[in-house]
Amino acid sequence: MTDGDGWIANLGCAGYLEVLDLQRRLVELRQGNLVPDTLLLVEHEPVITLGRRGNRSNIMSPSVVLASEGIQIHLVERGGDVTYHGPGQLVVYPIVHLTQRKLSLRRFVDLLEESIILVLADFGMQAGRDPQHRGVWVSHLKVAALGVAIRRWVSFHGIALNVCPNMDHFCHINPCELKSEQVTSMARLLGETPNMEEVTQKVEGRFVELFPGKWRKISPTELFTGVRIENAIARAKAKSGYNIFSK
Amino acid sequence: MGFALLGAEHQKRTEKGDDMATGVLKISQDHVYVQPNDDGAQLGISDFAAEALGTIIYVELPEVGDEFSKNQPFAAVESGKASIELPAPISGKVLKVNEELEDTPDLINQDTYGKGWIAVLTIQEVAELDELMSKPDYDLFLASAEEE
Repeated sequence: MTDGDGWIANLGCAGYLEVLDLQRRLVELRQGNLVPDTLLLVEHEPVITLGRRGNRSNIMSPSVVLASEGIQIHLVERGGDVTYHGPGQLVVYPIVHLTQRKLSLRRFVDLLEESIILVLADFGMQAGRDPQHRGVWVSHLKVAALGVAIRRWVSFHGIALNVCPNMDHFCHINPCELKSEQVTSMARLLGETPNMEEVTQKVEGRFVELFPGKWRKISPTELFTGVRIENAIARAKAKSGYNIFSK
Repeated sequence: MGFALLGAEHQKRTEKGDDMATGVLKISQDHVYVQPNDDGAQLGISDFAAEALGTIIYVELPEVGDEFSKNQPFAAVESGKASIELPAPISGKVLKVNEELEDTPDLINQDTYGKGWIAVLTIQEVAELDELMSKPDYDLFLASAEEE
């Protein structure tokens, strides 16, 4: 299960909570070196998530409106404030052991942003970062939102790139006209919808450049099944007193 | 050698059954410190961690009465869109939390061993303190990590 330095899994369209559960299990297994670093790429159904600060005043629409559109709200353990995920947005979740890669938190966040900046350059866009406002920006417009969590040196949650999402949905979380933090997408910036597969491939490629190692593609089934097996092994070992967290 | 800064060099060791006196500052490999004092064990993050993380913009505090085993996350700090869970360096029950951090989370950056304390826990198992590093050992630990 631990051949190579990393796994890349393109989960296609998958449920937010389902993938969150997968992330949490991968984090636990990664802490015990039972899985390698893993990069998940996914599109979610429309959801609004709140980071630990849980500032609901940043959700503009009343719950009834959100419920009628089938948009759920989840409070999760990442940093950052409110964000939206939905079809047309590529969400990137790197489950990476920072200390094993000798990465400081700052460097890790820089690299995450860098991977997206380079992908946007591949599409002819000049993007950048702002250390005071993390994420990826094209001039004053935010094209990718970032919010990560660190649990015993393993990262989860990540960065979300607006390829061609439904921009109306962002009004649920930002006052669209007045707020200085404007949101945009690759489709808006390019004037045409980029191919999601192409964007995904570019993101994988740039990520692997910035996080060197032997990365192996793993199918979602392999990942979900494999993680279940490893969980069973870990539980069995824990019962027998074997410390899966020993280095 | 003159007297060192408060909290760093008092050598009075505590024994089981004794009243808690100011003990030796200990730090875990997760950069969480334990400062035993009259109330119990004051926990916070090391100065190295506070500097490395940058300005702390939010602290998720435990509740008074919460109980944690060693290595269970007892709090989280946020900086630059990253939320970092802090594993408890010892097992214990929360006696006090630093509510000042709700309005001024960067007290941690200003004075992490003093005003930037996060929580005070009971010390359930004194032996767990022995598993942690002293400040000099911690500084060596950091130095050797740099060299790699």
